[in-house]
Amino acid sequence: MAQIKHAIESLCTVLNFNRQCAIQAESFRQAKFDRHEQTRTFWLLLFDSICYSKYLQVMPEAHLSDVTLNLFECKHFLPISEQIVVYVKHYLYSFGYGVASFYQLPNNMSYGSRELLLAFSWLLAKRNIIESYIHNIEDILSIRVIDEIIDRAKNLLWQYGRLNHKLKTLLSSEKEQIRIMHKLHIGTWDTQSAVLPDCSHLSSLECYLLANPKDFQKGLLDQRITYLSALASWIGEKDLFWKWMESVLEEKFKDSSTNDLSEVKKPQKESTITKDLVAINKLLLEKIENNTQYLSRISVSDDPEKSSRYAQLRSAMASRYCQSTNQMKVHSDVNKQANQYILIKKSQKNVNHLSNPEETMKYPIADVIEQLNEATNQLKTNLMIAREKYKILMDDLLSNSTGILRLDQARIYSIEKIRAILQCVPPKFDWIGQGIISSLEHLIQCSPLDKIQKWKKFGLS
Amino acid sequence: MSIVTLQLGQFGNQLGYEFFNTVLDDIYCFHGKNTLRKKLAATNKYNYEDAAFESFFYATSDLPLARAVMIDTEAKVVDDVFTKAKMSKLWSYDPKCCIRKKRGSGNNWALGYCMDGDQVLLEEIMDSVQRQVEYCDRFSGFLLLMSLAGGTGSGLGTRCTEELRDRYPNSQIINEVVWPYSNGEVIVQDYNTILTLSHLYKASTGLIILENDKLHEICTRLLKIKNVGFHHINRVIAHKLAGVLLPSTCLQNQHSKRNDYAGINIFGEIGEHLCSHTDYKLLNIIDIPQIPDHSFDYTNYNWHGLLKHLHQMLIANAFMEESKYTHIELAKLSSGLPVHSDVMVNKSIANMLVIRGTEIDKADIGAFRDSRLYVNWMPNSSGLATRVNSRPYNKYEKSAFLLSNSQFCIPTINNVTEKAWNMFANRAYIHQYISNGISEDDFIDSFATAEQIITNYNKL
Repeated sequence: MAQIKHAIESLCTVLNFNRQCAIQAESFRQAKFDRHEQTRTFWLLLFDSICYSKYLQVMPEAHLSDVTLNLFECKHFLPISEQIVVYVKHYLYSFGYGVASFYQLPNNMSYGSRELLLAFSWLLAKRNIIESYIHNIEDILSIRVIDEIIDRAKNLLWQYGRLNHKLKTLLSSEKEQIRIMHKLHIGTWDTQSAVLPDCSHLSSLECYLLANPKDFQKGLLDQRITYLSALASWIGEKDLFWKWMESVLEEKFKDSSTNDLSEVKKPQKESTITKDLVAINKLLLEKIENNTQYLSRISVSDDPEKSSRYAQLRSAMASRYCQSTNQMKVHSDVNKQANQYILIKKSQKNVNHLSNPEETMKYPIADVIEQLNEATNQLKTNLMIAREKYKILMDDLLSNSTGILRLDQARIYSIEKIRAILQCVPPKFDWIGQGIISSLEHLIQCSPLDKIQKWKKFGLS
Repeated sequence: MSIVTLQLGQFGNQLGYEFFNTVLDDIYCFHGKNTLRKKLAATNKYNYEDAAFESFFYATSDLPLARAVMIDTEAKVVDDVFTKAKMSKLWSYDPKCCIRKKRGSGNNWALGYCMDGDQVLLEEIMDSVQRQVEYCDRFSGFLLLMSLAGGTGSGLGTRCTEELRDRYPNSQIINEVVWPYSNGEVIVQDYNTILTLSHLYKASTGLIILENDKLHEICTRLLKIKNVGFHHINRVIAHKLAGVLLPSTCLQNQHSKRNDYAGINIFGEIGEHLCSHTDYKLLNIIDIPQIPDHSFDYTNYNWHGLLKHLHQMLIANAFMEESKYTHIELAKLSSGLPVHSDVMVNKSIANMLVIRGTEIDKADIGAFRDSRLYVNWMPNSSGLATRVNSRPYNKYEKSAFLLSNSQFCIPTINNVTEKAWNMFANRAYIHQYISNGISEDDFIDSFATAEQIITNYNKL
């Protein structure tokens, strides 16, 4: 047994020549006493040996995933060390190694070096690894290997040179582009570009289109027209689409009622719908507020009778909307039987007893929407009423005044609007109306200063 | 694409003149003599003629000017060539780009290379070059025409190449160097050759080497010219050069309707396909057919015959078409059978085949793709780049050119190096170089480079 050290050392030299990681005779000795720090060394040794006996070449660790990927398709996300262990176990089993304690070793390479040493020696004996090394001695001694490396280096140099020349070509093309672009810009200097308003020259695309009007017609214009018409048709047909989407949603609810009920209950959905409704509510309130303000503004006139009338109107409207939107706390819950979102509306009285579920009134969402719709309609009719009132007011003003029209200058933005107002003028003032229209038409074309001056002159007394 | 040509020395200028004439002849060929300028102004489409014209000329209000800089240390040849071009009433040189000096270089490479420390001349050259480069929309590279024997062409040409490499690091520089007659009259031509070759090897993208001996033989044996003069030889070189450099398209783009002539960068292609490895930069042009003027009418062209001959020329490293080749079968070579010892097997690194003429579809280039022609480390089927043009070129209905980076150069360089080394061993004429600023170490470096080139090519 004295020569065992020498024997192991020569084995190590042979092994190390044929693989990338080195192993020492000391490792064998330590493995004999099952020292844990040698476990990884032996797993790797086994892995290399298996690879060698299979592919007759040593597999670098980096390529492992390629090898194992085919084997364990779903396990390639394992850490590389575990992949090695699984791989080794798999192949040793397929080679016919039957020691159960070997397969019970953990995948994390924590212990078991003696078991591994035994497995390795079995492999060494069974698969004739050293013999296959001996067969390949000729390959090792021949210089073909070195030639191959030189060829590869030369090829790499060649590829590198090609890349270099390609870059030079690219650079010359780039320079050409710059030169031609410069020429183009100089040539079209002092021409207003349609695309880039700040440029005082044409862009290359514009030049191209000018040079090739057919392309402009065929390609770009048609393309844009198609796009615009598609956009227009979408606006017309989007209702259809949303109706269709509704059916899709219904389809989904139908499915989920038969399959999985829990799918439907999603807190995010609940909160968003609540949020949405609250936001809608807020928006509506704001709009109402704006409208009433607007109404009050227009109702402010010299006539106290009228102003009181508007005040009444305003208060009436405010109370109406308060009813519909007041204290509306909207919750949504999933009615599992109906599989529909249900809004829980808390009445004003129950604000203090929110915790009491029995006192909450349940409404389907459709009801709430209906209510909101009603409110909106009401608002619209109110607005109509207000407008009518305003018209009447204008009539009064026109008929009562002795022809002095005080129109806010800013309001004269459209003759049509004024025309509409003037239609309400009694027939006896028809000539005034004609005069106003003609002078307004004139005014719009004048400069602001002129406008004011002419406006001053325009005192029809 | 535009190429700026530098004509250096007596030979370079004469060759340049022939070259531009050949190019212009080819452009005019189908359009009559005086329609060029009108045509260029009239058509919008960028066709072959435009591309060819733009590569080597630019239009002015007067005659078209060649994109060239003429350089010589003697005024005579430059003036001569300038007048000849102007007298042709077809094209001219830019008078601002004619650079000449009063005193010649006396066939001394060192005198041309060091120029007595004459920085003014170099600056003058570079100014003219810059002028030409600025005329180009797409500048693709420099073509330097020079001989190796004389002092100006080789010495000043080398210096110019190095300077150009310095100032235009991203451009391609191709040197067309003409190898002197083996029994030339210039006694130091071998020195000049070795010095030029070794210096250019560092600065240049690629060196196209054409040998006077072989060109002479082409003139006498193929073109049946009785008293061969320099202009005959120059015409053959110009024919080869223009055949490769004039616009052509990729084989793949042959049928595409897109206007391919606009994007051509032939120098880039040459650099990329043939000279990517810094150890192998020597190029050779073989072409077919070469027929004397009087037998044009009796010639029948077919692609099969032409390409077969060209292929044989490539394998056997023959510079011209011959009825009797030392036939080499590729199959024999690869099977390892003993080949006759004096037959050199010509291995290529890469080849560029340019086919010009009618019925290109019928040309079968498969033989040139054979991987046995190429070195082991060349990736499969990337050894051959093929460029085509369906326009007949220079009187020939069909013609094929092969720009090849192969072992063709070994015997030539070997020969010259040997002779030069023998002279150097005796220290013959060395003092003339030393007195002009070239040391013996420079010589030895150059010899080493030449030997290295030979070794590199030998090892293929």
